[in-house]
Amino acid sequence: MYNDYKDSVDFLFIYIKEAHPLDKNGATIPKNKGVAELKDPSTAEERVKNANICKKSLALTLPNAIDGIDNKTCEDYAAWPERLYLIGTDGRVLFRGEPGPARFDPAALDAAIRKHVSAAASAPASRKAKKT
Amino acid sequence: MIRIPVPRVVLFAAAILLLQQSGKGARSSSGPAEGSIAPVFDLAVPESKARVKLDELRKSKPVALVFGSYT
Repeated sequence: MYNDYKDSVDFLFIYIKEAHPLDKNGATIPKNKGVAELKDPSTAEERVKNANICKKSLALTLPNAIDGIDNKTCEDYAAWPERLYLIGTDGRVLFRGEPGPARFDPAALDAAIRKHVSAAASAPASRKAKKT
Repeated sequence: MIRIPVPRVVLFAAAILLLQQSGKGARSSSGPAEGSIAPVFDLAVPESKARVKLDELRKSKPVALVFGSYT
């Protein structure tokens, strides 16, 4: 999807608090087999370290950023454990996906992008000019 | 039936709260609704000293936000 739309939409992966961090006894909740175990960070530096592991392990090609240790952006968007949004150039929410993992739906984001891209392409030239 | 008296001020406050939650642009535990102003952010970028701000990112193109973690 990123490769399909990167010319018309900017993508940003925001690393937020882990869904299944190691607990105080050293166990993940629930245990994810085959996945590196990460502790819930208590400092910004620890979160950055986890984010870098995430980026490398998932071979992320999307531009990415890290939520603060206060989890503010995650909370502002009710984004935990995973969620998709599309934000317009006017700063308004064009699409709000449902929280994952059960309702995480990239196809819905794909449809929202196509709807937006086609709407922008068919907008009258005068309207486009006003935006700039 | 037993009737429990509820002060009018409590009912009024509850009504205002419901109106705010149901209005366009309201933000709730569900996250910002479609049509509402997206919360701004200013975040660190891994392995970089750069920052990324929603206000700057969205100027030229819409922005798809993908929230997630490793586990």
